[in-house]
Amino acid sequence: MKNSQARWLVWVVAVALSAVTSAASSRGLMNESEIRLECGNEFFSMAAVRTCLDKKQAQSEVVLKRAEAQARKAITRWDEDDKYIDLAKTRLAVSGRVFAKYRTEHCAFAASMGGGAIGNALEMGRAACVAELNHRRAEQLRLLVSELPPKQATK
Amino acid sequence: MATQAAPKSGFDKWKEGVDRAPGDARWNLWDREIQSAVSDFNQHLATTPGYRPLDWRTIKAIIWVESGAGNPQWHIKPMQIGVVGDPGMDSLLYGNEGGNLILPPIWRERLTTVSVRTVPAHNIRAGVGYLLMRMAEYEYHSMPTADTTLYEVTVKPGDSLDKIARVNGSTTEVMARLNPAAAILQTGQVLRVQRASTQRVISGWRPLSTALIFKRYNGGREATYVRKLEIVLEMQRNEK
Repeated sequence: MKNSQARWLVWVVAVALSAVTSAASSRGLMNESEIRLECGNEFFSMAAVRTCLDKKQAQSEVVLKRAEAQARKAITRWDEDDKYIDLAKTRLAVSGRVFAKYRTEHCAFAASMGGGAIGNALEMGRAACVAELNHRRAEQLRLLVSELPPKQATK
Repeated sequence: MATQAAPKSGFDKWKEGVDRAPGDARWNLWDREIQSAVSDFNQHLATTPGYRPLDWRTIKAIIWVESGAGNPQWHIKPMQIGVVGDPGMDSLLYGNEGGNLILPPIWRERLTTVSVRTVPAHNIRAGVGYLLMRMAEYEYHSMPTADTTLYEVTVKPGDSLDKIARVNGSTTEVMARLNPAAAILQTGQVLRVQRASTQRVISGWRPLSTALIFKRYNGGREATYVRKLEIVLEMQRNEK
Protein backbone atom coordinates (compact mmCIF):
# COMPACT_ATOMS: atom_id res chain seq x y z
CA MET A 1 0.00 0.00 0.00
CA LYS A 2 1.37 3.36 -1.01
CA ASN A 3 1.94 6.07 1.62
CA SER A 4 -0.75 8.33 0.15
CA GLN A 5 -3.29 5.49 0.20
CA ALA A 6 -2.42 4.69 3.82
CA ARG A 7 -2.84 8.31 4.83
CA TRP A 8 -6.18 8.42 3.03
CA LEU A 9 -7.32 5.30 4.88
CA VAL A 10 -6.28 6.73 8.24
CA TRP A 11 -8.14 9.91 7.43
CA VAL A 12 -11.30 8.01 6.42
CA VAL A 13 -11.20 5.98 9.65
CA ALA A 14 -10.61 9.11 11.71
CA VAL A 15 -13.58 10.83 10.09
CA ALA A 16 -15.78 7.77 10.61
CA LEU A 17 -14.77 7.52 14.29
CA SER A 18 -15.30 11.19 14.74
CA ALA A 19 -18.77 10.89 13.19
CA VAL A 20 -19.64 8.00 15.51
CA THR A 21 -18.34 9.87 18.55
CA SER A 22 -20.18 12.98 17.50
CA ALA A 23 -23.42 11.12 16.97
CA ALA A 24 -23.09 9.49 20.38
CA SER A 25 -22.34 12.74 22.15
CA SER A 26 -25.08 14.44 20.22
CA ARG A 27 -27.54 11.91 21.58
CA GLY A 28 -26.17 12.69 25.06
CA LEU A 29 -26.82 16.43 24.80
CA MET A 30 -29.31 17.55 27.39
CA ASN A 31 -31.82 20.32 27.07
CA GLU A 32 -32.04 22.97 29.75
CA SER A 33 -34.85 21.32 31.68
CA GLU A 34 -32.93 18.03 31.75
CA ILE A 35 -29.87 19.89 33.02
CA ARG A 36 -31.96 21.47 35.78
CA LEU A 37 -33.44 18.10 36.67
CA GLU A 38 -30.03 16.47 36.86
CA CYS A 39 -28.86 19.04 39.39
CA GLY A 40 -32.19 18.85 41.22
CA ASN A 41 -31.83 15.10 41.61
CA GLU A 42 -28.23 15.34 42.67
CA PHE A 43 -28.63 18.14 45.22
CA PHE A 44 -31.44 18.91 47.57
CA SER A 45 -31.43 22.58 48.48
CA MET A 46 -32.09 25.25 45.88
CA ALA A 47 -28.85 26.94 46.93
CA ALA A 48 -26.93 23.74 46.12
CA VAL A 49 -28.88 23.22 42.89
CA ARG A 50 -27.94 26.75 41.85
CA THR A 51 -24.26 26.06 42.60
CA CYS A 52 -24.50 22.87 40.54
CA LEU A 53 -26.04 24.77 37.62
CA ASP A 54 -23.44 27.53 37.84
CA LYS A 55 -20.76 24.82 37.60
CA LYS A 56 -22.49 23.28 34.60
CA GLN A 57 -22.55 26.67 32.95
CA ALA A 58 -18.82 27.18 33.67
CA GLN A 59 -18.00 23.68 32.38
CA SER A 60 -19.99 24.32 29.20
CA GLU A 61 -18.00 27.50 28.62
CA VAL A 62 -14.78 25.49 28.77
CA VAL A 63 -16.22 22.90 26.37
CA LEU A 64 -17.25 25.61 23.93
CA LYS A 65 -13.89 27.38 24.08
CA ARG A 66 -12.14 24.09 23.42
CA ALA A 67 -14.47 23.34 20.49
CA GLU A 68 -13.83 26.80 19.04
CA ALA A 69 -10.08 26.33 19.36
CA GLN A 70 -10.30 22.90 17.74
CA ALA A 71 -12.45 24.30 14.94
CA ARG A 72 -9.90 27.06 14.27
CA LYS A 73 -7.13 24.47 14.27
CA ALA A 74 -9.00 22.19 11.87
CA ILE A 75 -9.71 25.09 9.53
CA THR A 76 -6.07 26.17 9.60
CA ARG A 77 -5.02 22.64 8.63
CA TRP A 78 -7.74 22.30 6.02
CA ASP A 79 -6.60 21.25 2.59
CA GLU A 80 -8.13 24.26 0.86
CA ASP A 81 -7.00 27.51 -0.73
CA ASP A 82 -5.94 30.18 1.77
CA LYS A 83 -8.70 32.49 0.57
CA TYR A 84 -11.39 30.04 1.73
CA ILE A 85 -9.55 29.20 4.93
CA ASP A 86 -9.44 32.90 5.81
CA LEU A 87 -13.12 33.30 4.95
CA ALA A 88 -14.07 30.34 7.15
CA LYS A 89 -12.02 31.71 10.06
CA THR A 90 -13.72 35.09 9.73
CA ARG A 91 -17.15 33.48 9.58
CA LEU A 92 -16.33 31.38 12.64
CA ALA A 93 -15.31 34.49 14.60
CA VAL A 94 -18.41 36.44 13.55
CA SER A 95 -20.76 33.57 14.27
CA GLY A 96 -19.15 33.21 17.72
CA ARG A 97 -19.90 36.84 18.54
CA VAL A 98 -23.45 36.65 17.23
CA PHE A 99 -24.01 33.37 19.06
CA ALA A 100 -22.91 35.02 22.33
CA LYS A 101 -25.45 37.80 21.78
CA TYR A 102 -28.18 35.33 20.90
CA ARG A 103 -27.32 33.24 23.97
CA THR A 104 -27.65 36.26 26.24
CA GLU A 105 -31.03 37.24 24.85
CA HIS A 106 -32.41 33.73 24.51
CA CYS A 107 -31.40 32.77 28.03
CA ALA A 108 -32.89 35.98 29.41
CA PHE A 109 -36.07 34.80 27.72
CA ALA A 110 -35.62 31.30 29.21
CA ALA A 111 -35.20 32.86 32.66
CA SER A 112 -38.38 34.86 32.15
CA MET A 113 -40.27 31.57 31.82
CA GLY A 114 -39.97 31.40 35.60
CA GLY A 115 -42.48 34.25 35.75
CA GLY A 116 -42.53 35.99 39.10
CA ALA A 117 -40.30 33.48 40.89
CA ILE A 118 -37.52 34.67 43.19
CA GLY A 119 -34.30 35.63 41.44
CA ASN A 120 -32.42 32.50 42.49
CA ALA A 121 -34.94 30.32 40.67
CA LEU A 122 -34.81 32.54 37.58
CA GLU A 123 -31.02 32.34 37.59
CA MET A 124 -31.20 28.55 37.73
CA GLY A 125 -33.13 28.59 34.46
CA ARG A 126 -30.71 31.04 32.88
CA ALA A 127 -27.62 29.02 33.84
CA ALA A 128 -29.15 25.78 32.52
CA CYS A 129 -30.05 27.53 29.27
CA VAL A 130 -26.49 28.85 28.79
CA ALA A 131 -25.09 25.37 29.46
CA GLU A 132 -27.43 23.82 26.91
CA LEU A 133 -26.66 26.34 24.18
CA ASN A 134 -22.90 26.16 24.75
CA HIS A 135 -22.92 22.38 24.47
CA ARG A 136 -25.06 22.51 21.34
CA ARG A 137 -22.83 25.09 19.68
CA ALA A 138 -19.74 23.09 20.62
CA GLU A 139 -21.33 20.02 19.06
CA GLN A 140 -22.23 21.93 15.90
CA LEU A 141 -18.66 23.18 15.57
CA ARG A 142 -17.29 19.69 16.05
CA LEU A 143 -19.61 18.31 13.37
CA LEU A 144 -18.86 21.10 10.91
CA VAL A 145 -15.10 20.67 10.99
CA SER A 146 -15.05 16.93 11.51
CA GLU A 147 -15.02 16.20 7.78
CA LEU A 148 -12.46 18.76 6.69
CA PRO A 149 -9.64 16.94 4.95
CA PRO A 150 -6.28 18.04 6.37
CA LYS A 151 -3.47 19.22 4.15
CA GLN A 152 -1.19 16.42 3.03
CA ALA A 153 2.16 16.54 4.80
CA THR A 154 4.82 17.82 2.38
CA LYS A 155 7.60 15.39 1.55
CA MET B 1 -18.70 -12.22 45.33
CA ALA B 2 -19.46 -9.06 47.25
CA THR B 3 -21.58 -6.52 45.39
CA GLN B 4 -20.74 -2.85 45.52
CA ALA B 5 -23.42 -0.55 46.84
CA ALA B 6 -24.57 2.09 44.35
CA PRO B 7 -22.96 5.47 45.10
CA LYS B 8 -25.21 7.77 47.06
CA SER B 9 -26.62 10.76 45.25
CA GLY B 10 -26.47 14.22 46.76
CA PHE B 11 -30.19 13.89 47.34
CA ASP B 12 -29.69 10.68 49.34
CA LYS B 13 -26.94 12.30 51.38
CA TRP B 14 -29.13 15.32 52.07
CA LYS B 15 -32.02 13.04 53.02
CA GLU B 16 -29.80 11.21 55.50
CA GLY B 17 -28.80 14.57 56.97
CA VAL B 18 -32.41 15.66 57.22
CA ASP B 19 -33.41 12.37 58.77
CA ARG B 20 -31.04 13.28 61.59
CA ALA B 21 -32.24 16.89 61.66
CA PRO B 22 -34.83 16.53 64.46
CA GLY B 23 -31.97 15.92 66.90
CA ASP B 24 -29.70 18.53 65.34
CA ALA B 25 -30.15 22.06 66.69
CA ARG B 26 -28.68 23.65 63.54
CA TRP B 27 -31.82 22.81 61.60
CA ASN B 28 -33.96 24.71 64.10
CA LEU B 29 -31.74 27.78 64.10
CA TRP B 30 -34.35 30.02 62.47
CA ASP B 31 -37.45 28.70 64.27
CA ARG B 32 -37.94 31.77 66.47
CA GLU B 33 -37.26 34.16 63.63
CA ILE B 34 -39.74 32.34 61.41
CA GLN B 35 -42.39 32.27 64.15
CA SER B 36 -41.94 35.97 64.82
CA ALA B 37 -42.09 36.86 61.12
CA VAL B 38 -45.14 34.71 60.43
CA SER B 39 -46.89 36.12 63.49
CA ASP B 40 -46.27 39.69 62.24
CA PHE B 41 -47.66 38.88 58.79
CA ASN B 42 -50.66 36.97 60.18
CA GLN B 43 -51.55 39.90 62.43
CA HIS B 44 -51.09 42.44 59.65
CA LEU B 45 -53.14 40.55 57.06
CA ALA B 46 -55.82 39.10 59.35
CA THR B 47 -58.51 41.52 58.17
CA THR B 48 -57.96 41.00 54.45
CA PRO B 49 -60.75 39.01 52.77
CA GLY B 50 -60.28 35.25 52.93
CA TYR B 51 -56.94 35.29 54.71
CA ARG B 52 -56.06 32.04 56.43
CA PRO B 53 -53.22 32.31 58.96
CA LEU B 54 -49.93 31.07 57.59
CA ASP B 55 -48.45 28.07 59.39
CA TRP B 56 -44.87 28.90 60.38
CA ARG B 57 -43.85 25.32 59.61
CA THR B 58 -44.61 25.90 55.94
CA ILE B 59 -41.97 28.61 55.94
CA LYS B 60 -39.59 26.38 57.86
CA ALA B 61 -40.05 23.74 55.15
CA ILE B 62 -39.39 26.27 52.41
CA ILE B 63 -36.20 27.41 54.16
CA TRP B 64 -35.01 23.82 54.49
CA VAL B 65 -35.60 23.30 50.79
CA GLU B 66 -34.22 26.68 49.70
CA SER B 67 -30.97 26.55 51.67
CA GLY B 68 -30.79 23.99 54.49
CA ALA B 69 -28.34 23.75 57.37
CA GLY B 70 -24.89 22.94 56.06
CA ASN B 71 -25.13 25.17 53.02
CA PRO B 72 -23.39 28.54 53.47
CA GLN B 73 -26.57 30.27 52.22
CA TRP B 74 -28.35 29.05 55.36
CA HIS B 75 -26.53 31.81 57.26
CA ILE B 76 -26.95 34.53 54.63
CA LYS B 77 -30.11 34.15 52.56
CA PRO B 78 -32.14 31.30 54.08
CA MET B 79 -35.10 32.03 51.77
CA GLN B 80 -32.83 32.60 48.76
CA ILE B 81 -34.58 35.82 47.80
CA GLY B 82 -32.33 38.75 46.92
CA VAL B 83 -29.63 37.31 44.67
CA VAL B 84 -28.01 39.99 42.53
CA GLY B 85 -30.56 41.38 40.09
CA ASP B 86 -33.49 39.61 41.79
CA PRO B 87 -36.58 41.26 40.29
CA GLY B 88 -38.73 39.63 42.98
CA MET B 89 -37.03 41.44 45.82
CA ASP B 90 -37.22 44.75 43.97
CA SER B 91 -40.91 44.31 43.23
CA LEU B 92 -41.60 43.49 46.88
CA LEU B 93 -39.69 46.47 48.25
CA TYR B 94 -40.17 49.09 45.58
CA GLY B 95 -42.66 47.81 43.01
CA ASN B 96 -46.32 48.38 42.51
CA GLU B 97 -47.34 44.75 42.82
CA GLY B 98 -48.75 44.73 46.33
CA GLY B 99 -45.63 44.60 48.50
CA ASN B 100 -46.73 47.75 50.33
CA LEU B 101 -49.99 46.00 51.27
CA ILE B 102 -48.35 42.76 52.34
CA LEU B 103 -45.46 44.01 54.44
CA PRO B 104 -46.26 45.11 58.00
CA PRO B 105 -45.50 48.87 58.25
CA ILE B 106 -42.51 48.41 60.53
CA TRP B 107 -40.91 46.00 58.04
CA ARG B 108 -41.69 48.27 55.10
CA GLU B 109 -39.31 50.71 56.75
CA ARG B 110 -36.67 48.23 57.85
CA LEU B 111 -36.20 46.04 54.81
CA THR B 112 -33.70 47.31 52.25
CA THR B 113 -31.94 45.74 49.29
CA VAL B 114 -28.76 45.41 51.36
CA SER B 115 -30.42 44.06 54.50
CA VAL B 116 -32.41 41.42 52.57
CA ARG B 117 -29.16 40.25 50.99
CA THR B 118 -27.09 40.17 54.15
CA VAL B 119 -29.26 39.81 57.26
CA PRO B 120 -30.89 36.35 57.53
CA ALA B 121 -33.81 37.65 59.62
CA HIS B 122 -34.56 40.23 56.93
CA ASN B 123 -34.16 37.63 54.19
CA ILE B 124 -36.73 35.45 55.93
CA ARG B 125 -39.19 38.33 56.18
CA ALA B 126 -38.64 39.34 52.58
CA GLY B 127 -39.14 35.72 51.51
CA VAL B 128 -42.36 35.37 53.48
CA GLY B 129 -43.53 38.76 52.19
CA TYR B 130 -42.77 37.81 48.61
CA LEU B 131 -44.50 34.45 48.94
CA LEU B 132 -47.61 36.15 50.34
CA MET B 133 -47.46 38.90 47.72
CA ARG B 134 -47.58 36.15 45.09
CA MET B 135 -50.44 34.35 46.84
CA ALA B 136 -52.68 37.38 47.19
CA GLU B 137 -55.28 38.42 44.64
CA TYR B 138 -55.77 42.10 43.96
CA GLU B 139 -58.34 44.50 42.64
CA TYR B 140 -58.39 48.21 42.05
CA HIS B 141 -60.97 50.07 44.12
CA SER B 142 -61.95 53.70 44.37
CA MET B 143 -61.11 54.73 47.90
CA PRO B 144 -62.08 58.03 49.57
CA THR B 145 -59.14 60.04 50.88
CA ALA B 146 -58.92 61.40 54.43
CA ASP B 147 -60.85 64.45 53.25
CA THR B 148 -64.45 63.19 53.24
CA THR B 149 -65.98 66.63 52.61
CA LEU B 150 -68.59 66.79 49.86
CA TYR B 151 -67.97 69.59 47.38
CA GLU B 152 -70.18 70.91 44.60
CA VAL B 153 -69.13 71.63 41.03
CA THR B 154 -71.06 73.06 38.13
CA VAL B 155 -70.90 71.28 34.79
CA LYS B 156 -69.29 73.35 32.04
CA PRO B 157 -69.56 72.80 28.28
CA GLY B 158 -67.39 69.83 27.19
CA ASP B 159 -67.25 68.29 30.69
CA SER B 160 -67.54 64.58 31.35
CA LEU B 161 -67.64 62.67 34.65
CA ASP B 162 -64.14 61.42 33.98
CA LYS B 163 -62.81 64.93 33.34
CA ILE B 164 -64.56 66.41 36.40
CA ALA B 165 -63.25 63.56 38.56
CA ARG B 166 -59.69 64.09 37.33
CA VAL B 167 -59.74 67.86 37.78
CA ASN B 168 -61.24 67.58 41.28
CA GLY B 169 -59.06 64.74 42.64
CA SER B 170 -61.81 62.15 42.61
CA THR B 171 -62.62 59.04 40.58
CA THR B 172 -65.31 58.31 38.02
CA GLU B 173 -66.70 55.52 40.23
CA VAL B 174 -67.13 57.83 43.24
CA MET B 175 -68.61 60.57 41.04
CA ALA B 176 -71.13 58.12 39.56
CA ARG B 177 -72.07 56.84 43.03
CA LEU B 178 -72.61 60.36 44.40
CA ASN B 179 -74.53 61.49 41.32
CA PRO B 180 -76.78 58.63 40.20
CA ALA B 181 -78.82 60.96 37.98
CA ALA B 182 -75.79 62.21 36.07
CA ALA B 183 -75.77 59.64 33.27
CA ILE B 184 -76.10 62.49 30.78
CA LEU B 185 -74.50 65.76 31.83
CA GLN B 186 -76.03 69.12 31.10
CA THR B 187 -74.24 72.42 31.23
CA GLY B 188 -75.07 74.22 34.50
CA GLN B 189 -75.92 70.99 36.30
CA VAL B 190 -74.53 70.85 39.87
CA LEU B 191 -72.70 67.68 40.88
CA ARG B 192 -71.40 66.42 44.19
CA VAL B 193 -67.70 65.61 44.45
CA GLN B 194 -65.65 63.80 47.09
CA ARG B 195 -61.87 63.38 46.99
CA ALA B 196 -60.90 59.80 46.13
CA SER B 197 -58.21 57.77 44.42
CA THR B 198 -57.93 54.38 42.76
CA GLN B 199 -55.96 51.98 44.94
CA ARG B 200 -54.82 48.41 44.69
CA VAL B 201 -56.38 46.31 47.45
CA ILE B 202 -56.16 42.68 48.47
CA SER B 203 -59.38 41.05 47.31
CA GLY B 204 -58.64 37.44 48.24
CA TRP B 205 -56.05 34.72 48.62
CA ARG B 206 -55.03 31.73 46.57
CA PRO B 207 -55.16 28.60 48.71
CA LEU B 208 -51.59 27.85 49.80
CA SER B 209 -50.26 24.47 48.69
CA THR B 210 -46.90 22.93 47.88
CA ALA B 211 -47.85 22.98 44.20
CA LEU B 212 -48.62 26.69 44.34
CA ILE B 213 -45.43 27.47 46.27
CA PHE B 214 -43.55 25.62 43.54
CA LYS B 215 -45.34 27.55 40.86
CA ARG B 216 -45.32 31.05 42.31
CA TYR B 217 -42.18 31.12 44.51
CA ASN B 218 -39.93 28.75 42.54
CA GLY B 219 -41.48 29.56 39.16
CA GLY B 220 -41.64 25.87 38.27
CA ARG B 221 -37.87 25.92 37.81
CA GLU B 222 -36.97 22.81 39.78
CA ALA B 223 -39.07 19.76 38.99
CA THR B 224 -38.32 18.00 42.29
CA TYR B 225 -39.31 21.04 44.42
CA VAL B 226 -42.75 19.79 45.43
CA ARG B 227 -41.42 16.36 46.40
CA LYS B 228 -38.68 17.95 48.50
CA LEU B 229 -41.12 20.31 50.18
CA GLU B 230 -43.46 17.45 51.00
CA ILE B 231 -40.65 15.34 52.47
CA VAL B 232 -39.77 18.18 54.82
CA LEU B 233 -43.38 18.98 55.74
CA GLU B 234 -43.98 15.32 56.50
CA MET B 235 -40.93 15.25 58.77
CA GLN B 236 -42.18 18.29 60.62
CA ARG B 237 -45.60 16.78 61.07
CA ASN B 238 -43.94 13.68 62.52
CA GLU B 239 -41.86 15.84 64.82
CA LYS B 240 -44.95 17.00 66.74
